[in-house]
Amino acid sequence: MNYLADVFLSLLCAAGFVAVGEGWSRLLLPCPWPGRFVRLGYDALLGLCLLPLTLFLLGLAGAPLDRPLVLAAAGVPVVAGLLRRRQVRFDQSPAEEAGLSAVEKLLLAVVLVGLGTVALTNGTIPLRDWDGRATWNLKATLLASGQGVLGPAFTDPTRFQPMPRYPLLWPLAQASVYIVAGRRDALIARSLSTLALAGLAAVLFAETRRSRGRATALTLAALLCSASALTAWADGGAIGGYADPILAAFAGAAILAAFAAGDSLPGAAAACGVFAAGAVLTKIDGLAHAAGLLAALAAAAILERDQARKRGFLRAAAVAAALAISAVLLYAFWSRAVPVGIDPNHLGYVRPAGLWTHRGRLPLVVRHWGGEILATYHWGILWPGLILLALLDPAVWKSRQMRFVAPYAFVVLAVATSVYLEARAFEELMKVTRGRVLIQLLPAAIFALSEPVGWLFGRRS
Amino acid sequence: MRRGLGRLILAAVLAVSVLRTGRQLAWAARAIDRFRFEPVDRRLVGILGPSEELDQQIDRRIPPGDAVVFVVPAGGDFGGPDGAFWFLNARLAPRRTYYYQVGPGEKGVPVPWLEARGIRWLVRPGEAGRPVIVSSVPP
Repeated sequence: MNYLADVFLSLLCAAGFVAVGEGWSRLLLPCPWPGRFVRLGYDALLGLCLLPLTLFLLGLAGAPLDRPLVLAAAGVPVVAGLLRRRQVRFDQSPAEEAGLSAVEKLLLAVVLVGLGTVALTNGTIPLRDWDGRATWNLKATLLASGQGVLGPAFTDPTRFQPMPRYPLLWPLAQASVYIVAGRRDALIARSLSTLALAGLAAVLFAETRRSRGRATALTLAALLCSASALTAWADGGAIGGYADPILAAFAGAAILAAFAAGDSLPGAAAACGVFAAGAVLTKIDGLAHAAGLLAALAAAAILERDQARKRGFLRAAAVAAALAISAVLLYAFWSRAVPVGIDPNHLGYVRPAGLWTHRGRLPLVVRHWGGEILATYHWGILWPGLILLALLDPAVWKSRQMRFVAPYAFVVLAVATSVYLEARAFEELMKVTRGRVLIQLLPAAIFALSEPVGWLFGRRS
Repeated sequence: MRRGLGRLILAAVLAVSVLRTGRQLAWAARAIDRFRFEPVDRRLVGILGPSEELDQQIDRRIPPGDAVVFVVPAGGDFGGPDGAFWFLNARLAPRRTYYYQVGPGEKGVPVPWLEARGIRWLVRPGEAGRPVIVSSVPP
């Protein structure tokens, strides 16, 4: 197959996910933010979440994972969405209508360079990271070869498969591309990683623009899209096959939608819940993100004095809790049929008594976190820079964004730290996973800095 | 003053990120032709498929006389002793299998667990003839 045909095929598949998202958006889950490009980004995330989720549900019901099923799962929401006579907000926001300043053009260029790099790498360089190829893509390959989510490849203990109990949302998204394309070539399915990053950047931009203006929003999107851990690191970034960038996209979108739900943006609470469920079904770590999200919403609802905002947060918390718990139950139902194999369920080993026993490891664990923040070979100077920005502007600690994100980040880091404290080869585990935990947290961390970045552009809250 | 310093920090962060991203972009752009005209790695992409298909796929893609080279990061082990190299290697027999170390790590040291599984250290690329290459890092 020639290269240009592959590029066309991967773009077509990516567009298919956006169309599915648009269908769901018209049916049930309206985009909370205005703007054409924002809406396309939101649709991309929605499609990446809901198409594989539909396939997962149908697979649990015993439907064979084949082309007619994938086309039906994708086609039904698209057609139903087209038939729905709902007012579609493809309008331009006032900010979009005004021309871009020189600085904004530069920031937009940074965003495009980041996304272009991820797209070109994913469409050119064969998958070369270990877990991407041998774990996540293997699952997609198995699913695309006609094995259902409860097929023998997953449930027969004599079959070899690393990490058999890893959740299947991400492999199902890739498998649906393989099935529709008729070929199992990772280069085609990896356009989905680019799509997830673009969708996340659009949502981050949209939510920041509401309160801090376009320049600040573009800056945060530029910080995200140019983060070298995402654009140049295969073992965890968006140019590899790991599930962490997808989890980052869902968890990031969930926290941004949760924040928007405080202002009662239409559809924000539902979007928050859907993306929280998506995070849970993407990676086991998604449980920590869902717990952190609920902690953030609970804290915001308790501390908020404005009754309308309080109600907005409570509504989002209720929807997110219901959908995240449903996702956990769905995962539990599926994983009960799957033998444990060599699945390292680190989270399952955490015991409070063990934490106390291993408390002596804490300084070393903290040192490892510090080491990752300073790991220029992954991050350049991103984390030290973000920390310095926060220190320069004391108002950041009082900003709504920072106060909202803090409980979420605390829960995610506390869960990860607890796992490290109890893991047997904890230093080895930390070395290979600590960077990916920070990738998962990156969108929220950048959003938390809306205040100091807005201050640099003269936009105080 | 503080705002100026903040802008400087922000500009520095973005500049470093863009430089690192740009380096990746340049590398990916240079790789287009290589993978377009000689997609060596694609011959094994997807080979870690269902076990019942694996032998068939290997036979179809790699004639028994061919050699297979695993390009591994020097100083790293690409999956460790429990990784899929041995899993693939067992099925690749009787084809000759090699590992070739690239990257910034220590290159002059053989990897014992690969040697123990019959995967030979390829010191110079020419020794393997025209092999199929399984690349884990940029060639």
